[in-house]
Amino acid sequence: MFARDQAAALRRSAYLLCGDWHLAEDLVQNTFTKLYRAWKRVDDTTKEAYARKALMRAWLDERRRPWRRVENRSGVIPDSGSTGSDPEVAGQRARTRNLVAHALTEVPPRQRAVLVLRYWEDLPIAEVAAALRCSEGTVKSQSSRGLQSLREAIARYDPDLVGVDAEGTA
Amino acid sequence: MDEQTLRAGMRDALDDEPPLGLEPDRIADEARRAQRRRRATFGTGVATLAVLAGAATIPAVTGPHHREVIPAAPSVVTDVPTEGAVPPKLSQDELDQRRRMLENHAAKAVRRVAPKLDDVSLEHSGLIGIGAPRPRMPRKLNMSVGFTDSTGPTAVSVEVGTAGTFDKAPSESCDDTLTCEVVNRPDRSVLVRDAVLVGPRSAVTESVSHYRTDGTVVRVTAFTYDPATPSADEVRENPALSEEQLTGLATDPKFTLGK
Repeated sequence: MFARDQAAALRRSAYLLCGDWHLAEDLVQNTFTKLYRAWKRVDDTTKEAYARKALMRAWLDERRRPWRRVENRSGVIPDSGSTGSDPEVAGQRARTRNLVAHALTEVPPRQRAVLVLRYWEDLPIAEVAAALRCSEGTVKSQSSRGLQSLREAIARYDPDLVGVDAEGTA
Repeated sequence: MDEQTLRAGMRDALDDEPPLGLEPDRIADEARRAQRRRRATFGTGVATLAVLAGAATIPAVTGPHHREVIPAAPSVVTDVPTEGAVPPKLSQDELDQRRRMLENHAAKAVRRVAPKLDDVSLEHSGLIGIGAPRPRMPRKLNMSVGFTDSTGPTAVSVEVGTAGTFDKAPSESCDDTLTCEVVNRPDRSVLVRDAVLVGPRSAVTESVSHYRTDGTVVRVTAFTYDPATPSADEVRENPALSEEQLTGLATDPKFTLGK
């Protein structure tokens, strides 16, 4: 039941980490396998936190595998079909979507994990630190560096967007 | 980029989310199977120890002469059985000779434990030394023996190390493993059997490590994929060699760099 309830949410976080829906499913599958083994030891109130921690470990371990999948770093943003009724708005949205997804894959893994936990999962710093088994100070510094790395990655794709954001109008 | 833009960008990045392809029930079944395998193996290990302990005790109780009773070893050890062991002192000629002997032996040993395999041959080997060159330098020979079974081509990795080449004690070997058990043997050596998830499509490596009392550690690993050409789309359900076959290889006394 827990797996059914959490699968979609965990897969979204996994996708933001790895930028590949197939790999995201594999990561969630590994997470559930680990959770199954530890099920009797995990308290009801901490199951979600445990699953999140296991997902982060699965992701960071995946990055260390010698034959991990190679990410698309071609620097080319693929076209994406527009889905909204206003072609201009839909087009801009698809462009932003691709930009963030691609720029995230260029942020170093641990910084990326911090960004996803802080800004997607909206976790407080203490919980991010627990999930990544590091100090709160490390979370703060990784978060700051992660945002900087993301800005630099986006600047390579679209300098205008970073410029607008820097003025606080995005 | 500010935090709000990042949050919005992440939301937008998930706009084209495909339907969920995960089957939680299937994952639970798979995890249950892995756990059963682990328990079955652990049970076999305990039963073996019990039989050995019995064999050591019965003559002492029933025999006509007094014999020294060999106490049964504890079922789990936490110490390295090889503490204080030093690497053998080998000249370059002796080392070359040992290496050739092990390279010749590796494929034969695999054929012995798994006679039904085809195309069994040494694919590559590499000898590494650890630290500065010295007479008793810790060394490890890594070999890969390729073969083909009914599923297709794959390989088994055989690592033969002297004292000082494996940095993990048996008790530390179970970190981040899918299944793991540590069994000590009557000769005071230790076997560690573990399985590790290695990423895409639930690919797994299963290893048996034999920590010997002279400091030698032999680690044998089988894969659910072909390590020569790993592909996320070609993953087997089980490694080509069973735990029993891996144990047979890891405990083969010829696998040693010592004299």
